[in-house]
Amino acid sequence: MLGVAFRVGAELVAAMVVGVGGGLVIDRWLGTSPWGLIVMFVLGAAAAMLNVYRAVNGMGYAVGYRRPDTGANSGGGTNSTPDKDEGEGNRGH
Amino acid sequence: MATDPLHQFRIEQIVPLHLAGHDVSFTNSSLYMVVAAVLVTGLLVAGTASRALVPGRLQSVAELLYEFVSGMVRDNAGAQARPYFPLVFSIFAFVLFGNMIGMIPGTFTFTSHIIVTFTLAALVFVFVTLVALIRHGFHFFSFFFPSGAPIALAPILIPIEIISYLMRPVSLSIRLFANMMAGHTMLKVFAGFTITMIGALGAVGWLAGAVPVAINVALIGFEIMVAFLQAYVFTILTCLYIRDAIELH
Repeated sequence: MLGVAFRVGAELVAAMVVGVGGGLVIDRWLGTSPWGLIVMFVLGAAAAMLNVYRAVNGMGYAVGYRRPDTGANSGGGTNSTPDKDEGEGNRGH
Repeated sequence: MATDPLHQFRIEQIVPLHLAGHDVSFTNSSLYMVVAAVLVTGLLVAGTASRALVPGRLQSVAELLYEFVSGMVRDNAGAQARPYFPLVFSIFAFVLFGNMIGMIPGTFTFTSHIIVTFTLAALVFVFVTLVALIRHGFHFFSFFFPSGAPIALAPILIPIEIISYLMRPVSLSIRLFANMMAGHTMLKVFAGFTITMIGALGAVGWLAGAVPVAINVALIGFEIMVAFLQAYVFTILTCLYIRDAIELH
């Protein structure tokens, strides 16, 4: 629906606004131009994609909060694999 | 005037005021905010004055509004969110009345200005963050790192999660303001077509000019739906953010 499309669009724009805006502020504050902008641009784009994924997934949450009932299927699925990942990460260390 | 579809968004001072070097004039935007607040208060005060067991028309509307928001808070924010109902109700009523007043020709839509919607969204953001901090203390910061993710990814994941937390008020405000502004501009552009056609084509223009008017009739219905829907979306996201703040994980 149009509402969903508009939401996804706003989600993308907002993440880029925060990422690029934050990058410019960091550059001005620490004088690290242009590295703050570059890094924050990439992170903002990643956050945008993550939030679009979450919004489309029907969770409607921005940060890693999840609803307990939906957490059983969607959150649970992502939770069980990271447990394994953590084990591998420890082995890697 | 008719050819400038953005003229309707112009801020005009009604009572010029300056306070400590800042321009705090009472503008047409402030006027319609006051109108919205007075209408909401008036509806609820007048609607609940009779306290009839079988509600009259006004009381039905007031009860409908109350129960609608109450159900939204219960379903989306959870039972623990009951204390925050007044805030959610105020936000919904203010945004809904702002959007709906804007549908009356000749009025000013204050929700079509990003500074207004951003202030509302920032209020929600600060409030939700404070609720989370007070309820959970330092545990609040744990959800900037998704549970179970490999620790090696922390330098990437934590900034991404912080950005996606900070973008909440931005996306909340952009969505409302963009919808309202786009809709109102579109209505004005179509209305402008009619005037241009009549000016350019004369008698034929009166016939051809009826086409944009017909489109505008449909668009106004659509815009009324958008006005309601955007107030609803703003409120439902507020509810979800409050739920996040209460439950954390």
